Amino acid sequence: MADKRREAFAPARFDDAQNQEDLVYLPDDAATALRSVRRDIDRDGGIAASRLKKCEAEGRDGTHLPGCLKTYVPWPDGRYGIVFQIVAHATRPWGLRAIAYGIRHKPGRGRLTVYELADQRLPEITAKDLRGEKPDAPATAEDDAPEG
Amino acid sequence: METVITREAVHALLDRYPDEELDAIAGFLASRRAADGTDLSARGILERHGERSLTPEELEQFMAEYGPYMGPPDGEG
Repeated sequence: MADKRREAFAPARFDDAQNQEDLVYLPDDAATALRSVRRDIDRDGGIAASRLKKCEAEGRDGTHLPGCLKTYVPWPDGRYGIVFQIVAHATRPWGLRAIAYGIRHKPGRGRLTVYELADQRLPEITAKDLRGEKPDAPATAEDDAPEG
Repeated sequence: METVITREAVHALLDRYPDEELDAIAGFLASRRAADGTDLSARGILERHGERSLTPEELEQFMAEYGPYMGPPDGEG
């Protein structure tokens, strides 16, 4: 069992654009709860590792969050959650970067949980993914060119 | 040669989907771009701060340091 006296604090950082956007879809108390957890992290120089849980590589909700960590807000059983990615930086020690903040359980049709939000932000999408998707129009000579 | 997809083509693609699937598609698109166009994908967020994902070896070391204190996956997500 981990020794609480020597508990580690993992540096954790937030992206203002992500925070701002995620809060648009949440009730007012979500902003208050987030401010509180960010204050704690600033004060402690990181988030206590005991407040982190590993995300599911393949969740029963259909999300895939391999290598991600999460915390509940407020800890330990608040209705909101933060999903973090573990990151490296050229001049800082390894740490956590929040990639999604949101509600833990499905709030209703059309609304995403924090896990779904993180899951949708993780994939690397490039123009290649759209290859083969073309408008419903007659093929041109260019379309028939052999693929390299 | 790279296929160039136009906005018009993307709109045409959307028209293929039934109304009941539009919520999911809109949710996906909105989750990756802020209203002002800021990239909210995980990659975009990391790049904005000069960060990258850990290699498997680095991840192993990170988990060796912090993992013993963490809770296991709890089936929630």
